[in-house]
Amino acid sequence: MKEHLQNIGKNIFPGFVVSLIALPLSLGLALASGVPPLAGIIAGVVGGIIVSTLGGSNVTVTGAGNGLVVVTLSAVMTLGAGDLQTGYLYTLAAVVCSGGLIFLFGLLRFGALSDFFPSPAVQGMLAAIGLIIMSKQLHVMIGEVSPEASSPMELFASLHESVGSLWNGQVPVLAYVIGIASLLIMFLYARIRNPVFHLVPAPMWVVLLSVGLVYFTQKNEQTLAPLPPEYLINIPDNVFNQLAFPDFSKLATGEFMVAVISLTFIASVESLLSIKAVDKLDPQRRRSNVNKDLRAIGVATVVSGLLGGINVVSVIARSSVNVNNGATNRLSNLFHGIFLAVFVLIFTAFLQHIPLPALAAILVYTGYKLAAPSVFRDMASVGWVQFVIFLVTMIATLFTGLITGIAVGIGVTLLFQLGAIKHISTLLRNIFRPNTLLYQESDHQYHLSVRAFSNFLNFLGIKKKLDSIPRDSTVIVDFSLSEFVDHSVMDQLHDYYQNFRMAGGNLEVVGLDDLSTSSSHPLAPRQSRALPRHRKRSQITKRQQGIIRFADRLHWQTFPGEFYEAEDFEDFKYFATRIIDKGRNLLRGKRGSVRIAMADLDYHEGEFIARESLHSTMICLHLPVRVAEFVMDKENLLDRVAYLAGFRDINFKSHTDFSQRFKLKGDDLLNIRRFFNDEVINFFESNKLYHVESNGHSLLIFEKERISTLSEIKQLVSFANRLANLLNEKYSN
Amino acid sequence: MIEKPFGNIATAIAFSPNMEANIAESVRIKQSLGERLILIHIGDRTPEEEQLLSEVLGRQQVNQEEIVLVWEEGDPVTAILKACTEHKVDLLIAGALPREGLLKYYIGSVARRLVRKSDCSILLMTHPNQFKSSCRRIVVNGLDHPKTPITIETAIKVGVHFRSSEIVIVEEVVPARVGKRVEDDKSLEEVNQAKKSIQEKENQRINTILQGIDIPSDIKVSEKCIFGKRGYTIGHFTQQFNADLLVMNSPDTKLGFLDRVFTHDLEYILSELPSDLLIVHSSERPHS
Repeated sequence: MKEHLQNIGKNIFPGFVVSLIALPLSLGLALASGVPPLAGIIAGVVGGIIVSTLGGSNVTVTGAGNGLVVVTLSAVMTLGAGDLQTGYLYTLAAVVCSGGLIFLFGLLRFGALSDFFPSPAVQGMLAAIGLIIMSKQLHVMIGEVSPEASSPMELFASLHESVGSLWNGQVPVLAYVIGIASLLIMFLYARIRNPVFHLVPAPMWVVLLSVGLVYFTQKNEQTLAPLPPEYLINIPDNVFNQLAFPDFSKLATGEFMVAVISLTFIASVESLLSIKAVDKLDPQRRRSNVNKDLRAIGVATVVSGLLGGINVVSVIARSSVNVNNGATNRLSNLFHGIFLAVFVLIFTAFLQHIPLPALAAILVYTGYKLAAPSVFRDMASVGWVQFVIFLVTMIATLFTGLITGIAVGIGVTLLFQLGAIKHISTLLRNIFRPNTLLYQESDHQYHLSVRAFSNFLNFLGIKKKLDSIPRDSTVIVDFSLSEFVDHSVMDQLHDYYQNFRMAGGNLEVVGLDDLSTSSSHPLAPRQSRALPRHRKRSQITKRQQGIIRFADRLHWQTFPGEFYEAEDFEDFKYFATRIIDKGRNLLRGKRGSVRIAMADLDYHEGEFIARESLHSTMICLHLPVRVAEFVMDKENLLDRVAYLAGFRDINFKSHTDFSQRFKLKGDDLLNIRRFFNDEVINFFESNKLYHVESNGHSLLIFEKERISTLSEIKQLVSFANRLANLLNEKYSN
Repeated sequence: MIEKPFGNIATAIAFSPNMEANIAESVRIKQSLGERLILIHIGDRTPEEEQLLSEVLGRQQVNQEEIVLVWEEGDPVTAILKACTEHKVDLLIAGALPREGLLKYYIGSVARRLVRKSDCSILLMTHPNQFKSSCRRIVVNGLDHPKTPITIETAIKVGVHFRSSEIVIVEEVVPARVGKRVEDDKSLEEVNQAKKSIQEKENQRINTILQGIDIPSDIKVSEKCIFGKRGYTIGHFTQQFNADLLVMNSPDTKLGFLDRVFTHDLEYILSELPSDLLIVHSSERPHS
């Protein structure tokens, strides 16, 4: 608690930035759910305040979630029998009940349950949710605020009618101009890596610009016709006058039960998935108490429902924005809730000018992110079985509903696994056995052996065992006694690998060499039966050929294939809040006693709609001696990074030019000055500016946050080689 | 020299292509572990079979006086058990498949019925063959149970006579004994602290048992405390550790059909033998 209070200052700013993104999202998600926009804000405010006080996670943000849009909307429609207002009141009662159930889930420690669902099925369900959100919001975005069709398929089918009405002039020009411009902003935001522009999150840009435009047209009616009032969001002048309260009169009906179960299920799964993903982003590598968090979310949902708000869930995009802005604990979630409340109470008039197409564009982008082509590609690359499960779940969800969709997904997964006849007896004989064995080999080394089979049915056992191991130890996961290992397991083990690596430990998987796969994806399922393999020989690009030739000249080793375990690079501050997805074109060489590794890395910061994928070519110099930790760069790059808290600026009186050009930060002044002697400073002064970072035993060097060209690589390598020579000389004396 | 762990050793034989291999293996075991070998033949006694059997026995390099041939008829299990009581058998050797078929799993094989009903120790062999090398690694249970000291002592004696190099005593601890659950970093630390103290206590208990046993210096005896389901864990460990023999306490109650449906303890091992299995019979009862 004391630690919490000390960090108040640090968490106000992230709380503020998160509220900027939460405001448009809450309004939009509520509208898409068929409830008044304020219901989303209430969920955000209540969630922020209650979950931050009672919860068990550290940097997650809670509020209205995108997964719930679909279930909430269908609850409103079925319970209200078409009447949105009465449907809303009945739905509130369902929200309250689902909150109670979620609280119960927390008490019963169901927190591990989300791992039970096979990941292709969950992905398929999420993609379907994305498509459903898009199907409606695409209409709103181009100015058709109340499309007639209701099912997602009809909505997609009638899209051309809405497009057609643009030409007929039935829709005000301003509406679709705002919608399409907003969508462009959402898409282009990640491409523009300007630090000033990035101070405000993309959805807030959309709101600011569109509201500005609305005000402008209202003042200058002759330039452009202003939007009619039905295109603007409907928020009452006095928020407290229009609070709604739940109507419990449908409590015992079947449709009410279905609504409660769907809300509970989706809210729990979305929250659990988010908490898991956010734990990976936490720079302090803390582990959330999932069950405590579930209980807090349950309480918050009950309160939110009683006050007229929708379900409270942990949300990934807002949480990642929170982390990227330097949040250290739950207080930022609290501040996000408070700021949100303040915005609505003080800037009511401003909010009343938000055009619906702008919010719809934000939602379209959200939906797109859930069902982007890359999601399909990734799934297809894992293997055809996973892709089929993914597609079947998605289609079933689109045509029937979320609960039946996921049930079909689980069923199909089971069928596929039973279908591999060789395994059926293994599966049946061992299904009720623990099949896992964990023992400590030595002080910080554990051995986890898995027998017979490992799929989503028994992953909980593995998870339980893995969770009981301190993250800073080494774990060997041994599958040599298993006959098959499925994709969900490989996928989740990769998560664990990242968690252990980040906390200073390691996780190694052994015993898979004998099991064959159906695709070359590193996380593809493994089984002992040899499948017919159609190995596609991947084409080597010109750039790769160049790199290989270049490396040959240097007598360096080349590994052009993809790799997923980037040990060389993970250990730097730069990657404290960024996650390396994979690397390619690994080169390894040696200069004196300095080992050099270079690779093209794909990594990302932020998650979901706030996710920004980055690529860079980086070099790592492994030094034979220990040096001080420091970060050095041009000014503008350093300003954006939140992780440097505690590091001080260091200047050299005798090298004013160097001090001006470079921003050097670090903690251990004495040793930094020892490292930066005259020769080293002269070297940096006379060369190109690179980002150079030391973690005590290695240096990370890169130039831009994009993949370097061949000539840039040559420069980078020459820089690294000369630096290595200099350091060899320096430390050999 | 440490005394042999058993006196009378018995095995059942029947005419099959494997018979000679089985007899040879039994003779070898008898030479190492016991004084006399009792061969229980199940089936009709015909002159041809007597002739064949004496030929096979003649080929064994063993003092023929130490071999007793018993002819029995009828249900194998009843016959074997009857012969065991009559000849005061200490150890019964039985062949078993390493893994039972799904049907047998629920109905029970001869070996399983013997384990359930016998009053002597039983050695279940998974791969009887004529050229079996020595038994390098032995895993033995270290349960907190009055039978355990005798089991461990027997295991060490067997180890000595089988020229084993390593014996691991596995203490299975049910996770419930930790009393706490891992939820976040703090509870994880508490759980690991609790585990550590349990581990120390367990090792101390085993060390007290070991103090009363004469262990030759060329055998490495170590202990391992593993948290997991009882019976299952030690089997998995045996398989993982590539041990040649697993030594267990005899069950306190005779195992019945329900024990197989709701697998627990020894049933885990019986349904899928991780290695050869020696069940040490002793009449110690748990303190009630």
